[in-house]
Amino acid sequence: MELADWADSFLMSLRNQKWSVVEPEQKLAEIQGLLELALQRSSCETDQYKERLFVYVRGQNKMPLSTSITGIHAFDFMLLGYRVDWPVSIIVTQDALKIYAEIFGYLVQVRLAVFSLTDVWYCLKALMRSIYCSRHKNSHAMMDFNILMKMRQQINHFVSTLQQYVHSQLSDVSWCRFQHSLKHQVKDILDLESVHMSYLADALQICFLSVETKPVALIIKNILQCALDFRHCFTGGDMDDAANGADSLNLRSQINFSQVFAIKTTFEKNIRDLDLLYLKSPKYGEFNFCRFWGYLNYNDYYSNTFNKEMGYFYMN
Amino acid sequence: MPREIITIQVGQCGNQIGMEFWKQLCLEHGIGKDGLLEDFATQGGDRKDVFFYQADDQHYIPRALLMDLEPRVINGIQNSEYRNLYNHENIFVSEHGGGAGNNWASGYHQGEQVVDDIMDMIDREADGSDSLEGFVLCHSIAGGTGSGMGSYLLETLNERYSKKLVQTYSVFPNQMETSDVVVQPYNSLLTLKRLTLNADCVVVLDNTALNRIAVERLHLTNPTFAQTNSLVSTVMSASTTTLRYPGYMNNDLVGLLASLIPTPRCHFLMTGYTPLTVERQVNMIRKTTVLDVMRRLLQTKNIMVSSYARTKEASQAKYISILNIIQGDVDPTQVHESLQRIRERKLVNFIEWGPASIQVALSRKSPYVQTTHRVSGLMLANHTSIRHLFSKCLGQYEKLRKKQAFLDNYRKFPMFADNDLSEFDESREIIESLVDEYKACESPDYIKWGMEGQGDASVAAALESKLVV
Repeated sequence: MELADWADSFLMSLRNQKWSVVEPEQKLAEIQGLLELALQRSSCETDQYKERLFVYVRGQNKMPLSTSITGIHAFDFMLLGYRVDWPVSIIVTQDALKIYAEIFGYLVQVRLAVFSLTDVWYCLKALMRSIYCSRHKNSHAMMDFNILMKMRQQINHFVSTLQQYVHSQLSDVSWCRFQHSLKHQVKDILDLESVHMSYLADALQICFLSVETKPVALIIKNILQCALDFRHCFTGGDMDDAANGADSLNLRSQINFSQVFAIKTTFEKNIRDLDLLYLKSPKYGEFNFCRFWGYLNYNDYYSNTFNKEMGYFYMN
Repeated sequence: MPREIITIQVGQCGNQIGMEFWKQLCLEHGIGKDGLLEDFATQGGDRKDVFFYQADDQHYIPRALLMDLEPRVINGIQNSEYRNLYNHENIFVSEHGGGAGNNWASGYHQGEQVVDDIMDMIDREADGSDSLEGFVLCHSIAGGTGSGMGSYLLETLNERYSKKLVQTYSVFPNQMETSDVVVQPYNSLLTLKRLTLNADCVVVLDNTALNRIAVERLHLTNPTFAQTNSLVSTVMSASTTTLRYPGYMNNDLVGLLASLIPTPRCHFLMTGYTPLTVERQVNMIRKTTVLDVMRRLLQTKNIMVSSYARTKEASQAKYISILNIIQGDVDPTQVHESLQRIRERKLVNFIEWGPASIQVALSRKSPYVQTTHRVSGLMLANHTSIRHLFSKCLGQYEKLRKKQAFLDNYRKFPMFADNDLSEFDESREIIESLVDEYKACESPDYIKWGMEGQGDASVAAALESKLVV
């Protein structure tokens, strides 16, 4: 995760790939090619272990022949593997490798949401220019624009906070703890295996992939999906049209606003559900959901909004 | 795949700060003054190719274009130890070498005259990139070349490279000193219009604040340009760290901007850096921790914009977003504790119209540059108090314009011919609207900003009530 630029460019090329083959084996080979190219062009280019990374297909799942990127599960069929030799394989077992692959899959989903929101940002930037360049002021366009802008800000805040939480807890805090345990707790190979497995258990907890964090994971996935759906509100995904069409300053004909409102409702409902989960969650522990909620609600925006609503409710 | 960034430095100030930036980047990546990798620079893990490319003979060459309408500063660079660093084809000095006479209109007009030459240079550099992410413009807004020619470039880049990002490092004039450029308010206003309309992100480097920091924080009685420029290069290099040492987050420019700039119009960023030292000043070492650094970054005295003051009006100001880039020997558990402490003590006043927080990026540090402090930090912040700086610029403009002073120098150029001064009026309107929008950001009802008439506002309110969160 420290040197993660290869993963970014790998995903970016997967996302932009126009598949020229239909056979699953060929497609897997093409994906492996993209992975190798991304590693070659990244800051890991000189890493001697980079050749151990490979992609494979999950379980008995068949690889989808067309990969349309409309869902956060678009690349769930693909897992990232790492070739491990003996004696390292005593510690980094097949089960451990599966956990690493699950975590990578989760990070892919987060990344797809980030890419979508970036596309929306580019589109809003182009729309804004058109509004500015328009000689006559159009308050309807401005109003529509503000709604889109605020919605992107909220979903983006969620996704970037999630990214920061995962980054800081996974690659900084729990990794440092693992290093510390390696230095001070490990006396034999059994210790080594147990320290490594407890590092992976922490990692699953941080990414909300453990059994007890399933309700949180479900909500997070719904919100990540909102990011992808939001991107597709812009004329079915053609951002250029959305930007050029703004010359007419009728955003409603370019952007599917009923879909925008539907996504907004879903997003809000999920945030409320998250708040309810927070109220029920234990408030102690380092790798828990409360810490993530604390970052989400850092300026008390959500608690103030919900409290205000409760106030109105009791007043009426 | 690198997301390349091309730097364009325009005018005296732009080339001076650009030069300092490249010196710092060379040091951090272990690149020698002649562009060759030093023998000790073997650690890898960095992305040199975002800002440099390698020539056939393995020299690292900055993706930089140096432009000026008078030769003094560029001659200085070409006669310095770094003369072999740059691609000589990327240097443009106007043939007559007479400069722009501190006149925005002259700089703009001359830019227009030589547009084919400079765009050829830019196109060539862009064609040499695999996956160009955007441009960075270094300039000052007060003189003639950086402001006028820089403005023309911003418009042209926007037209030709509409899908690329344009970020600027813009030096604002020192308002505490009487400037020898009497038309500074005109130049600043006309440039601000382009920075508002044609840039995606403007990092404001306010000479008033830089000077104050040099005097009060660094105890330099008479700071030289070289000393304030070294503050600028520190900020510039620190703000690009996450691009040059990529991690999981903020590893491309759009990633940085999309979080810091939620609304495309309010794209003017303030910076803060701590601990600050200038060359040969190593006697100011103190204990640095993450909390210490994060707290200092929020203090007025460390912010490199002068409008961030503790006046009554400024107390209404709010942070739209904050990114802290922390480098050095950091205990990661301290990040959470520091964020908690800052929240408990209410050290940050955030917007009320949406969720907001302090993002923290722990970034790697160059192994080739030794510093005396354990931890250092840069804050990039989108703060509504920046509007006071723009209001100041507007006020100074109004004063000068009321007297109709020095306008003849502008009327000599096509844009203002036949006494057509509408460009000034339009620029003023745009900056006033920008100030209004930043002010609106301080209110919980920001979403209603920009709508005329009660009818529309009530529609917005109705929509807003449907979308409570």
